[in-house]
Amino acid sequence: MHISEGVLSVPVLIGGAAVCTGGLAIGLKKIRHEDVPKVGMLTAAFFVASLVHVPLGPSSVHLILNGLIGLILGWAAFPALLVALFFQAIFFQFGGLTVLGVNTVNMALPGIIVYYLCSGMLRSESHLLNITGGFIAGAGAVAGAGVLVALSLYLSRQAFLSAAKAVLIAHIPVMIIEGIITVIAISFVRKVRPELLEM
Amino acid sequence: MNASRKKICVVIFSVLAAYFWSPAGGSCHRVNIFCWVEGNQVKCESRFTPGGPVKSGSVEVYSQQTGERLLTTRIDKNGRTVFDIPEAAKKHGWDLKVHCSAEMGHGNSWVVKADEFASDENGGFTVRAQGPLPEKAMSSGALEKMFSRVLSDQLTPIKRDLAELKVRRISFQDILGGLGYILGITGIVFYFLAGKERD
Repeated sequence: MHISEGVLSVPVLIGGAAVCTGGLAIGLKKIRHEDVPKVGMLTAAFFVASLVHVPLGPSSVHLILNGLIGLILGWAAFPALLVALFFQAIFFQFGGLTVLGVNTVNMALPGIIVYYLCSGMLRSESHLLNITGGFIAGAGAVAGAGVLVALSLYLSRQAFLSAAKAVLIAHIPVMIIEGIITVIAISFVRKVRPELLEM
Repeated sequence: MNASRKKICVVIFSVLAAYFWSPAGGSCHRVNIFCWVEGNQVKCESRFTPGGPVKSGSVEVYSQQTGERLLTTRIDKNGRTVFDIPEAAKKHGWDLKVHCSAEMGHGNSWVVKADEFASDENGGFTVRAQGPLPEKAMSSGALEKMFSRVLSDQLTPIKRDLAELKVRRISFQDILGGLGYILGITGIVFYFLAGKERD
């Protein structure tokens, strides 16, 4: 999901940086004092999660955890993912500094969308709704990131449908895995630290 | 959750973790390419880090000095590419910038210095194509060519390994370093928040 340097056109890079700046401002404004450790912990989790790789056909994919981060952090996902992606670019050469804004938006925005769509389901007393909400959030955020990656490539003059198809097909196993991981993580958090889900 | 279900969960998690963390797979966030010169050709290998070869993608060769695109070729299913050194590069002494474009916006570059193919042009396939040298009529030039060919054959695996060694890999220090920085940033945020509260 990390788009490399030199792939996207300048307008897409600038647009991504602008949207990222907006998201960052909202995210920073919404972080309360008591949320700081939570943001730091999930930033570290995202930083390391991309090293968990799933070999797959002609390529391979990695865990993203943007759904889980979005559900727990809401808008604070923007600063968390920006910092994590920055250090991934510096230490691992994943993505790059010029594409930092686009990569942050591609991963944080779907997380925020699933936060608004699924947090209601997670607050429900119904166990089935909790599981469904967690799975949709985990899988949906990966799918959303895939669509945004394809859109970024399309806006840089690559064919949208083929790019979207390639990205989404490659990430179907990750969607399922992330859905399951999100369900387990959210169930665990609800039991031991339910206040973590209040952002 | 009763004890037997807990045990099953732990076993499933352990198996999944062992599978995903295994070094056998690739990870789809950084592509590495490395190239070496063999006679009149440049050979390249592209692979995801850490893990498998790029099985679908293209390689574009540019002049490092002028930025002019000299040729484009495909990557085979083993992640390998071979191309003849462009005449223009030999004539003008240009370094070659070899850019690998893999699927989903991944890419990376490698520079082949002009010195490498200038010093290697007598070795390798070009000379081998001339067939066995006559034993009796062996001039000093022919001897030189024969030694170049033999040396080139023997040095090829070393050149490949040397090129591969130049590729930067993710180390444990990188991971710890990134986590340390994230922890540090969280600490700095706390420091400033504490200052605000004191005021």
